[in-house]
Amino acid sequence: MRSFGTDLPDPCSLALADRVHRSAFTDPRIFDIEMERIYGRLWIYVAHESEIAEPGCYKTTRIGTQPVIVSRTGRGELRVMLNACRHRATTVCQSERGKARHFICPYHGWAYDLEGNLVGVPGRQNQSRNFRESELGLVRLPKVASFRGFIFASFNTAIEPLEDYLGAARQYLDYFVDLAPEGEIEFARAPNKYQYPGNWKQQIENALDGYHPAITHASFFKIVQERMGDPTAPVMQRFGYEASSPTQCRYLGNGHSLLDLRQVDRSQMLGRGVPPGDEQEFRARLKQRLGEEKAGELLSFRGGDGFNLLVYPNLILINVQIRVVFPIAPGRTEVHAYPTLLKGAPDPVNTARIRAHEDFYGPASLGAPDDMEMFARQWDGLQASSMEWLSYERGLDSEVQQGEQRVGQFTDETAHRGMWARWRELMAGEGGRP
Amino acid sequence: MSQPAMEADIDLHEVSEFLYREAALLEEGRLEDWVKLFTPDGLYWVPSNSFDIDPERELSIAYDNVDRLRERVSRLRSGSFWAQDPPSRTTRMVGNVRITARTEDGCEVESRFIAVELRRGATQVLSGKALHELRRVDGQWRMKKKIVHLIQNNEPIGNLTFLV
Repeated sequence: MRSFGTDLPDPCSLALADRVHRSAFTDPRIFDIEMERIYGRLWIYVAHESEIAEPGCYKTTRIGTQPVIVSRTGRGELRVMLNACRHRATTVCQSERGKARHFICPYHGWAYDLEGNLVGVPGRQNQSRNFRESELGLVRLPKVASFRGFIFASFNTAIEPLEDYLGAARQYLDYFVDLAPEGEIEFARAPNKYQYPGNWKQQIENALDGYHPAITHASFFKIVQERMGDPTAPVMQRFGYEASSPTQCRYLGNGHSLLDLRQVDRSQMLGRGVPPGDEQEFRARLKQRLGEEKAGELLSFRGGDGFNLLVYPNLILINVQIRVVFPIAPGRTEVHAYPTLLKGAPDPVNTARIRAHEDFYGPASLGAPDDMEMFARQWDGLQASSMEWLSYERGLDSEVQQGEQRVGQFTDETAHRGMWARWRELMAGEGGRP
Repeated sequence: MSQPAMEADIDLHEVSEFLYREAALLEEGRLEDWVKLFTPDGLYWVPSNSFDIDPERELSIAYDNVDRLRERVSRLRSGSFWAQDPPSRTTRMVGNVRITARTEDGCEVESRFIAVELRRGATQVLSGKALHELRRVDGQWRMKKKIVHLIQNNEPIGNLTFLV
């Protein structure tokens, strides 16, 4: 059996073309390197503009394991800064979201404005001669940018522009947002939150895993059959989940990946109905903005219902939902799942989106709890240290290169292999390094 | 003691008995019988993230009509519901029962509950306030609404696929 002893493991030896070593999930030293070389260097999704819509609004979140505040300044600019007082590191903001003029540390009272500037120090006269407020603002992330309302930040001053980083993923973010008649989505006020005993990469693999639905979600598909009034309806075939389905799995580059279901008509599958009049109104409004052809294309797969998108490493778009992944420890992960609303859509369309989210993604839903169950059992199995390697070879002989992208059948592991190749690059310090 | 107060005492006892029986059905996994406690237009609602939300635009943990509840039961019986394999074992205490409003054919009841869930070696304590809107139908109490305000509804929650 391999043992790393006290030496740092070589991450590149852990992810090969067709297999991954269990320690890539379990080793705390690997986790620490990930926090530095992945979460510390890439563009990381932090918030949606609708969560901090007005000047003075803020949201607290984490980049990797580091607590941050995302704020909109009085001038409407976006700022992302560490949620840690420059005095003794106490978090200066506790609320998940809100509106404020200052963040005041509750320990010794240091006060910061929405830009992170230190603007107040109690008993200022006793500080040393060298004390400079101007040097003691909250630590600001040097890079902040937003694309279609999705705000990203990076610690890496040398990182490529956000649009280049997103690359081929942009098209799918566009699809997701363009389904809104006003061309903007907004998040519901709060997400489902869940934690599982397991590694963050289990969640992102799961979101790009077209092989598991038939088995993990078997009981869900029985419900779908019941809803269709036909307990023998060939739902797996009809909705694109079979190994022979025309649906695809696609590695987009830069770690970003896609499960693509647009090749099949899934309109009968998900959610509860929208009254016909509201649906017509929705379609009319969309056509008005986008024109017949573009609107028709979007409506044919209903935006995000047509695909699962991973924006590496922590943002997932599925159906109506945005899922954000927070690594806590090698064996502890938190996930926030937000339903999204379409601006300009009739209210019943958005209510149907909320209901669709609850149907599959919440803690009492028909879908996500079975995934969580698999994560927990997978984590148990990953403790089998005598079994070193996990299999990633499905579709290896049949996937094809299409330009910069690699395409396999829906149930293949093409996206997983792409993500692990990217992981290997990043963990070696290539790509994304300043 | 005045006459109205006497009536109130009787109602409270009867209503409390109903809530205990409801909790027992859930505890014993007799979910088909539990669903029958709802009126045909019944609503089972567990809001998410806070107590005061608009379910049309904000997220619930469950916002179920009776059809949806029947689907849950069907799923629990499907044999491939991994999140309930093995099933959760629960025990539930119901208390602080108060009748908060009376209507022609029923009443509104507020209570507190503590439910302990055991599954795969881990216990989870769920607690909060339940609001029942009850109707008397053919001499039997039925639930028109059951609203469950979990105190932890804004915390990470793992698996709530058993019913609270």
